[in-house]
Amino acid sequence: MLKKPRAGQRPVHHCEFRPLFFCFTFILLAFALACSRAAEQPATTTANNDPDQLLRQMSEKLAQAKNLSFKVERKLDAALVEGRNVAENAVIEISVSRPGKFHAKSDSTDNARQIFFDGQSLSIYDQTMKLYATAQVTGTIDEAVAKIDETYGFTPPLAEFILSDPYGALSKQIKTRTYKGKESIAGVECHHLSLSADEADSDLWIGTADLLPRKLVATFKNREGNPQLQAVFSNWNLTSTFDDKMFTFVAANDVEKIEMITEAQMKEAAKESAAPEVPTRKNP
Amino acid sequence: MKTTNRSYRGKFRVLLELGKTISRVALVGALVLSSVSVALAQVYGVRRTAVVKGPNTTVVASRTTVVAGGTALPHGYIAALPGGYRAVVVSGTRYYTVGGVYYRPQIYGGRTVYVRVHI
Repeated sequence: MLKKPRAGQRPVHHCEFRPLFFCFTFILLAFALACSRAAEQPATTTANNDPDQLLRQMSEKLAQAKNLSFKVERKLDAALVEGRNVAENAVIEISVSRPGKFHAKSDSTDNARQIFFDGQSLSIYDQTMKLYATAQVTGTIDEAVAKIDETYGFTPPLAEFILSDPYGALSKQIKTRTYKGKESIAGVECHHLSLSADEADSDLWIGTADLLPRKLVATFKNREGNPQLQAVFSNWNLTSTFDDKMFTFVAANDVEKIEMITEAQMKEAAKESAAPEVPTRKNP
Repeated sequence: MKTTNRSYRGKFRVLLELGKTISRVALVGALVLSSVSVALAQVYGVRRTAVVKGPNTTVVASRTTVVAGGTALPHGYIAALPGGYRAVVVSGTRYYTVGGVYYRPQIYGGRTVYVRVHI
């Protein structure tokens, strides 16, 4: 502020202290500095041995990829395969176009299946039997996965890794996290995390260089025999280019549409089949 | 001087209010963001286990432990057709038959299952 000088007096500058302005400037500078430091440092150097931090970094890396694809070699112990008494080995190829499209193709020893979601509907195609079913599900991948899970009682394979917030989905299950050290998975150096949860205890290996999931072994401790799910991740591509047509199922002439049974319908069927049997002989 | 002090107090009060507002917004944001993440009934695509209550709140036996967490299917459902089946079309609908038993295919849990039907 400049006061009017009296005659013969030099002008005096009064510099007023402005705390509000000072605070804002400081916050802005600190934020800019933090951003520039984060941008400068590659992911590898920010990774430390904090399992929670590693999970977050893996999650952020996956969430930031708009178009990604990867391959999973999944082994399911027999006790985890619904309705069957045989273990299942499958190779699953997953393509994701955020926010609202994905495609999963699963080839196992006795069956080939595909799941299509294009933001408008979700279709399951049993390639082996030439059958398909479609559910009207709209919205983002997160919304579709939640809806399908709630209504139809399933999720796409390893859905936790394709959601918009994998950390949020995983951390809801996890009770404790432990860092177990560095190990090599298929020639890739990985951080080995041990994650315990109510349903399953998991070991997760995250690449030290790219912070992508490389292997998952989940032991379902509440099931008889502690069956395991093993998934080995590979062929990561976080900058894939897709033809949008690949997310929409178009039935060929020889493919028949069948019904997709809801969880409620199946519960009803189970209830009917569990109806108490009529005793054949009354006690005297 | 008094005017300056009053001015400082006023500005600090504004700053304090601003701080409170920012923290409130941050809290609401954190709550909203945390609620966005999806809570699944599956673990890596495997159904969670749960106790199934049957009629009269008795725990249902193995025959129906099924739907909320087991790996069996309800009575009358099978996950794979027995060997030697053949497809037949009845009134425009595909069925599979083996040994005089007919099955209608359905998708359940992301897989094809077959329910025994009477034709």
